[in-house]
Amino acid sequence: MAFASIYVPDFLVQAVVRAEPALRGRAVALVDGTPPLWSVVAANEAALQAGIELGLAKAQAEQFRGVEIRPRSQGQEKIAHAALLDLGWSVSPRVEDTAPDSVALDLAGLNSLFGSEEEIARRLAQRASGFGLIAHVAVAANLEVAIHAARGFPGITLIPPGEESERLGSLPVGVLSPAAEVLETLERWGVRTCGALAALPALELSERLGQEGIRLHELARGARSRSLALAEADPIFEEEMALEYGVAELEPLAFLLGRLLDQLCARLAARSLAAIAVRSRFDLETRFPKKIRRGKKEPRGESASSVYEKVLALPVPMRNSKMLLQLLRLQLQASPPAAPILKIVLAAEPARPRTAQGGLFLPCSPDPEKLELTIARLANLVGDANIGSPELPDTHRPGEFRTSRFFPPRGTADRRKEEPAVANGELRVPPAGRQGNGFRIFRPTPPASVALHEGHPMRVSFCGLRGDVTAASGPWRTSGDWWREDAWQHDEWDLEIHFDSSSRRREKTLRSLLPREPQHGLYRFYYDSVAGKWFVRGAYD
Amino acid sequence: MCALVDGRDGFDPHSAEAAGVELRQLLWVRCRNIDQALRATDLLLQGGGFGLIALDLSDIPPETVRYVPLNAWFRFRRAVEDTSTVLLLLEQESNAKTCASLVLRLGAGPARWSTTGEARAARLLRHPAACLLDGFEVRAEMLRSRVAIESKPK
Repeated sequence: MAFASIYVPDFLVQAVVRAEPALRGRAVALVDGTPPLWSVVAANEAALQAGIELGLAKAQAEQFRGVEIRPRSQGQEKIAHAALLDLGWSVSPRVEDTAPDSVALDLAGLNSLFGSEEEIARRLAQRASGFGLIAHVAVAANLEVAIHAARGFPGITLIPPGEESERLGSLPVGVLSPAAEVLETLERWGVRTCGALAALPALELSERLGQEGIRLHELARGARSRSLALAEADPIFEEEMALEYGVAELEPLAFLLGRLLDQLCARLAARSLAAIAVRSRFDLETRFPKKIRRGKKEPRGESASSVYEKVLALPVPMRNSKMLLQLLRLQLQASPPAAPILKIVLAAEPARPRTAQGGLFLPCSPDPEKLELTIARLANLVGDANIGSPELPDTHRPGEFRTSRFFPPRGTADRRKEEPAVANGELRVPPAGRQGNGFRIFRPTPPASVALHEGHPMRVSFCGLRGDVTAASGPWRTSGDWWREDAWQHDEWDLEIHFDSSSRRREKTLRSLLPREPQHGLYRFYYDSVAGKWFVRGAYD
Repeated sequence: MCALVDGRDGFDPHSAEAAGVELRQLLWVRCRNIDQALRATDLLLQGGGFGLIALDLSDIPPETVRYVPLNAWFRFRRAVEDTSTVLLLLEQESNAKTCASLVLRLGAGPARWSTTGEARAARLLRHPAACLLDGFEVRAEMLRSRVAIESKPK
């Protein structure tokens, strides 16, 4: 049995640096508090070496050259902690949420998957780097030893069974996280290392420090053991970034979105998940009020929403950050936010990644991710409502249809349900009744004038064309939805029309609708009894 | 899977389904003008993966389609050349010229009417409720084919 512990030193600073990679390798100090009483609450090693001390006022800290001052961000700390947990779950299903800056994992049974414990530790350290964190990893047979070794030793530490006391001996007592007064007492006694503490007699220590003393003594010897307290896997994948100045252009915004998506997709991949939807929320700059009324305490003006939210629903689970970025960009291009952006929050709805197996003899179909990008680009070009799969609703209303989202077939099961186009070497021909000629519908439906004789159309005119009816079939009445306000009642006619050669006058607005100058043609007309007018539904083509 | 770039929004899903088209396997792009139609075709060709992409410019005036530069058709041809995608262009005149592998001229034959009486125009007009439009023949004439040349026996 072995346990691994992952510890992130200077966690508060690393959480901020994770969101701003340009700060990596630089001296960084974080300030917090109620303005103007900002004070330094955290600093990395480089900042401490430059002379920064905890508790320093912000104005004093800013005097130090080369030290970057940033506000503490609890939002980033929460996200960094979630990333740390995802890192643990990427290797082991049994993870303990030990502290905001530390997690512990059970490595039992993982050797056959990931190799030796050293290889597992190396993998964890590498993946932590991919998540934007620098982590210390320690592996030991005892959970508490692993946790304290990770806190005390930099890099990767492996403690073989039986060597716990010896290896922990050099670490400072503070690593064991004693209470402040106990730590002060130990310092007064000159006990500064775990080795010195372990050397004290247990009975006398308990008389002076009580149960806390016993606990610390066992921890210092590496003799205290406990079970892992398993953490529940969090289904929330969220990344956020607060900006100092509002971003109004798409290009810099896309750069920031790309960075957040990289982190999100890395976390999803670590948990073997993908995103089925991406929710984006932007906090916008508050607009200046246009009108200020004199004599009133609060100025009145236009109230603009300070939050912009969008959901990018995906047809298949994806975790390709570049593809997601392109889809988000297209979505923002189509409807951009109304004001510059001050904060970005991206959340991915997790789902199991899709599995698909291609076949050698199946017809080609587009890659779902590429298809989604193509459809997004087409939607930007022609509008969301003008692209999709046509669907016929359950109604007899003529010409009724709706456009639904286009999905490629899921797999071979869908394709097997359909009749093959080629069977036994012969092309499949539709049954006789279905070999209909094409029909070209006119949108919008143009009005027509129809001269009747004994109730039958004899001469028609529409869109600047005039002609005689040489053959007719009808009337075929359809009606429906009588209980609704938009009830319909149409008398339909199929007409063969021979056009006059002299009907050259075209209405300009309708020229594009019927550009051809046919001598004759087959059309479907209908008389709308509700409107009391004739219309042309379309032409047989 | 097929895509239809509808240059003038003239596609009728009802008649298509009656003719045997699997609507859920059809991506329908409804355009307002030729510029949108050409750009949509470009995007579909770049995306790839469709068995057939049909660009319907039949309702666009021929003089407008003539203004499309030849290099646009060459670009389309290049995009489908080494793929299994068929690009079908429907127009009133043949504008793609040498870019096309196959050019067909389609024409309609006389309409067929089914009636209980004699099939004469006068009778048809007198009893329009007694006849039904049965359809019409479509004549196809091959004007140009690279496919036929390649398949000639040696």
